[in-house]
Amino acid sequence: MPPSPSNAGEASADERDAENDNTIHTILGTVRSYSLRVGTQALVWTVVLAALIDVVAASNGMTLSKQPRETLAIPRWLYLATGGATIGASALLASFVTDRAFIYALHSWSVRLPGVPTIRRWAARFGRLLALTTLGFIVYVGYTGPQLPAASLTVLVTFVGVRGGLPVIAYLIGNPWSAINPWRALTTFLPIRFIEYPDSFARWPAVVGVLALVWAEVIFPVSTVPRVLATAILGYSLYTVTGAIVFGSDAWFEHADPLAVLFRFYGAVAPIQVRDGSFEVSLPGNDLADSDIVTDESDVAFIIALVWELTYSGFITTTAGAQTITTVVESPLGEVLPTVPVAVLAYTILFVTGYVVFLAAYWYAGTAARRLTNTYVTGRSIAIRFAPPLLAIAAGYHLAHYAGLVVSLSPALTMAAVSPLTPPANPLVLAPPGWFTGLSIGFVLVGHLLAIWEAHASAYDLFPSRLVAIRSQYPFILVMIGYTIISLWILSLPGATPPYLG
Amino acid sequence: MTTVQTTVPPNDSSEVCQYCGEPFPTVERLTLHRGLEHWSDIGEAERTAFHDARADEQDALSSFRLRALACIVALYFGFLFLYATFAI
Repeated sequence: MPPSPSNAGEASADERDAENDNTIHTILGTVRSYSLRVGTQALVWTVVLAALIDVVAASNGMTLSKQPRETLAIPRWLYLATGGATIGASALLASFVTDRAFIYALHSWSVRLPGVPTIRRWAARFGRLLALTTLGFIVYVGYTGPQLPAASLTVLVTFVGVRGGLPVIAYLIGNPWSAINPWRALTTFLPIRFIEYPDSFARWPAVVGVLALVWAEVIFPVSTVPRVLATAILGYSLYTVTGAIVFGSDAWFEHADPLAVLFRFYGAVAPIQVRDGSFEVSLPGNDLADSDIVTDESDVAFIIALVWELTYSGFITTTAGAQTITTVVESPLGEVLPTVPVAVLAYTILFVTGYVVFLAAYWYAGTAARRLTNTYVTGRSIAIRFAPPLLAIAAGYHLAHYAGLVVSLSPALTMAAVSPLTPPANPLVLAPPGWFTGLSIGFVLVGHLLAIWEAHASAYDLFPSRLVAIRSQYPFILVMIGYTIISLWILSLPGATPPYLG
Repeated sequence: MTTVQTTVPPNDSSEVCQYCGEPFPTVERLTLHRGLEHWSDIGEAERTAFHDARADEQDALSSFRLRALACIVALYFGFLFLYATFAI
């Protein structure tokens, strides 16, 4: 919950004033000065954010608008330092907002939309039927349809739709997956449960699952050969349907199915949430200061996996990433063993090592925050409490990496959907304009700014002393600056095809 | 809602909240905690202590704000000079 009890303290301070000096004027004065204070803080905050965004846009315009993305008008280290400093400065600015009542007021603002249970029930039925039909159809088209990636409905639905488009909907609007999850639709007809899902598994199967999916996406030609992708989809379907039958549909999709967990986490960033069966609109990212989203280490590991997989798939498609892999393969080790297994090994080691580094850095920040603030709250509790804001960072990275792909391939997806078996061999592919890269930098930074603001709110909820709350954020801000610099560095590198694969 | 876990290092004398049992390293933090989380349960003396602790906290926050402002100004001018030197 957002810092609700604090409000009681503030309000009761006002109550006490009223008791002491029981005149209407005093009450009016108090209310007026209070709303003035809140209003001023809101205004200052808006101006500061607007100024920051302007600065970011201006620097993008200067450095990136007319140039291909590999040539920067400023030295790369300065561009990276500016990105890092933006995060640091916004954290300092966030620390100026010390009014608990104001933070609480922003986080408790929400509008409940009228409940339409009948429409929702029918929409869910229709959505699941459509998803189930699509699933069957894209597997069929994958085997029988054209084997060109840009013309194959299987590849386009999987990568433009599910990998790129649906997460965007999930974090910008609301999580659509629970309404259109085809495997869940399939298993509701088979309500069998042989084994109780063990609590000790937590969400670790989903963590392993999402890492395995990303690894398979990199290693196997799933995005280029529709037949391979169709086989992968069949394999995944078999895995997840078996899991749902063994452990029961609800427990499986709540804890172990990587896609369902991924969409639920991305959906936590969205302004539209489902509560008690009806839709509720609040400010984007508001739920991230909520303590219910992340409950144990496996959730933290999953969120870091989301941040890392986007960093990793960004990195291996740059010249620096290709260079790293080539160096390993052309080293003496590559001469002893055949090329492709060494390359696969290099990709895997890079993937696992980077993930462990990202996770360890984050986890250590929890321990460091405990030591820095001299608190009795465990490092584990602090790390768990500050993990949901990272979802805003993951959403920013995702948008930065996939917005261009979704925009450029959506006409191809439409054409393939209209005539799936005989799509045009040379589909229309839009070329995003140059300023799109600048937009990507903006997405990364806005994700981080939202994360900092939500971490600030979480800290206020966790610690009674506001100075401790501010100090507890330092290690996490350092980690976030690290993530930002890595991500901006990747965006500044020229693109390349990952070598030795395909 | 996840419960917040706490551990008290050995040899530390902690201040424990009598309403929820949460330990705190200093009396000020316990006083603030009681005022924020247990306002309806605490008595007049504890409420006064809470308001005093809040006033002290406000002073410390003001001095923190000054230092934060100094950092932002230093950051701003630092980058101004960096851009003036390198971004030509």
